[in-house]
Amino acid sequence: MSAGWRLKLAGLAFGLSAGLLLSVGAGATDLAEIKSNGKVTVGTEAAYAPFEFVEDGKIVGYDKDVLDRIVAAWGVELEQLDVPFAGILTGLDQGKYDIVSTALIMNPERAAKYAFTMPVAVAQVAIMKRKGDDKITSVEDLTGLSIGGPVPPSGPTSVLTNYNEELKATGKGADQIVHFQGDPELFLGLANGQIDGAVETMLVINEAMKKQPDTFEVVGTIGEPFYIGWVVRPADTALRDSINEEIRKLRDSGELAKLQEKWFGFSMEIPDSGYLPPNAK
Amino acid sequence: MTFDFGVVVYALPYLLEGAKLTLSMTLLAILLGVPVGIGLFIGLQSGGAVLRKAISLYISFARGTPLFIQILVVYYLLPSIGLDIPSFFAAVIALSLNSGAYISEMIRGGLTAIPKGQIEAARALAMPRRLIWRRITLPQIFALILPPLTVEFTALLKASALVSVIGVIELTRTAQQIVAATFRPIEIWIAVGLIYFVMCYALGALTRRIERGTAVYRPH
Amino acid sequence: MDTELSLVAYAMPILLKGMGNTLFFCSISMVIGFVLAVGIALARLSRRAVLRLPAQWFVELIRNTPFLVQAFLVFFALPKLGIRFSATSAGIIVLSLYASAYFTEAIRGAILSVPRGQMEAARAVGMPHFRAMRRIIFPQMLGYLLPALTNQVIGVIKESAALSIITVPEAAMAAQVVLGVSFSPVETYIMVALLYWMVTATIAAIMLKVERRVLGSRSAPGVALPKPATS
Repeated sequence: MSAGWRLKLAGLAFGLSAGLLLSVGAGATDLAEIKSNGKVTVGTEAAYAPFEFVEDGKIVGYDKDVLDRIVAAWGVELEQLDVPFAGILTGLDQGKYDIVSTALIMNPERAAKYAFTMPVAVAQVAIMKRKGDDKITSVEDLTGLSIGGPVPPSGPTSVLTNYNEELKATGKGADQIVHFQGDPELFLGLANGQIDGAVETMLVINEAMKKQPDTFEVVGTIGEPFYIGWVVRPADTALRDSINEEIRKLRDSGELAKLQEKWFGFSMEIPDSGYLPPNAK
Repeated sequence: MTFDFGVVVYALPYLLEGAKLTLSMTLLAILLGVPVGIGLFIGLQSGGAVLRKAISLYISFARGTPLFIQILVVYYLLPSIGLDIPSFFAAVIALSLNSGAYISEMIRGGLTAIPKGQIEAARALAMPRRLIWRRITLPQIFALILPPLTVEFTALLKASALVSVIGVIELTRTAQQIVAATFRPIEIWIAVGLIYFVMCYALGALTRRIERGTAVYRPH
Repeated sequence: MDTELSLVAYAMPILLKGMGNTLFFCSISMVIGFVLAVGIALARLSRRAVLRLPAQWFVELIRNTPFLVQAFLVFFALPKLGIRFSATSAGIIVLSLYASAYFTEAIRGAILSVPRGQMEAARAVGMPHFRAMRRIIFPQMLGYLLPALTNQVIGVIKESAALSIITVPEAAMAAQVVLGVSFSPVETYIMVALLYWMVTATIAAIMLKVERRVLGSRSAPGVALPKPATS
């Protein structure tokens, strides 16, 4: 028995020391380096319609259209990896790709750790329910309900979690927050009745309601509108500025508004500054 | 609720593409897993006390923890030790590290099944060591290992569905993408289940054939 | 080092709670799975095709498809047919079915491991059927069943980690929740792996003790006891 315990302790020591190995110290990546490589590597979670999703085996969507235009302006090749959301920011840290081009809500936790580009979209976070379901009538009262969201570190889920803490203080919080691996699973779960409500940004909810007519309806929005952007590693602020330059050009030429019309059905105001939370990189 | 198996017709080419990747990934993992298993086995037989302890800890860890977690550890650990490789290869490495542990146990099981008397008899006949290994030990090990190896291949093929979580676009991940686009989970998951079933069942049949074919070389 | 320690302090309570859930879900599923398996194993050995074939095909289907695909089917597909349940019950259902198929094979193997002649011999020397079962057949079956069952129990616990993908709040999901805050996947997943390791190693050790205790010298002659899966 004592030998067994020693083995376990050895294992624990191994685990902790392996953990300590984790430290990445790559130099900063910038546009010049990307241009000399002739290629930019981008991570995307392609299950977030209409921002990014797979159709006929290819990644398409609003972000993808914007990305394509930026990459074309740079004159480099695009290598786009479809990565599960749960590990998408970690993969960026680890240098698996240099840009995360996936709709990310600019929340303070992320902005403190990653360098956000300027916004590509603005949206409110809302709770959606099955059409006609009267178990849930107001976002102010989620008593006894289970509400789903994408798995952490999802933006809408963290908005929901914080919001639910506030509700709990008044005794009207949701019973359970259920984590789905992605939006497709989340919406299926809601339609199937595994949860009573689902949290997402309005842009994504609109798309889901379009694809599945007469299935869902919006209960209400929670919190303020959020800016949505992409991120690079905190050291790569120069690369971020290069991306911003191209987004700004697309905005000023009216191209961005056209793409918003195409994918969301309306266009939105994209500000030049003031979009980042305090303490942002 | 209506069924629309037409969606399967649309999805099938993509699913089969995914199945091809699943198969080649599993094959690669087994091919790498065999040398890993042999290495572990040799270390366990002839290494020093520390190495032997380390190897048996490794085997116990690989067999006593979920492959799902092992895949995630390998996927995130590799870049932080300076190995920046695509998720396909991270998946192959995770699968082969896991199956190496099982394969080394198979080799051990195979060796102990060969009666010692055979080797003693061969020695008594003054057969050189090499010849004993080549003529007596190896064919029997091979006959003993091959069936469990195909069983391991089947198990790994099924387990490989887990690498969908690190974004390898194999059969399961392809199916998730199609479900996301079509909202047709029943039809797609049934089709995917059938594709896996056909692959695994065929491998099972192959195992039984190999068992029969090599029976003559197995010790009794 | 400070950050490492604070990660452990932050993560451990969440992971331990997740592991508690894992053990809870697995225990329920294995009890249900075992009860089902006894029935399926008997059906599988039946001479009547109506019983034998469905049982056989059920076992083949479960054993020849990935657990993850089974989980997706049960979780997302069955509700579309009008059968609705929570993530937790979906998890328990799919894990029970999975366990039942693998337990069936262990039970069937155990039954087949005792030669038919043994019962005939016992009856021939005048032993009543029930006593022959209890004294002769059953102890020999246990010699085969216990080690096989140990492997499958550990297999079920390991496989259950995939349930996080269908939203079941177990240990692997707890790791993801930690990750949402800590962004340190290697440490987090190694911690949760170590928890699984302790659980499976403990179960293997306990089962080995049970085997020695129960079987003792009564272990049937000629029945080799396979080694348990983990040390």
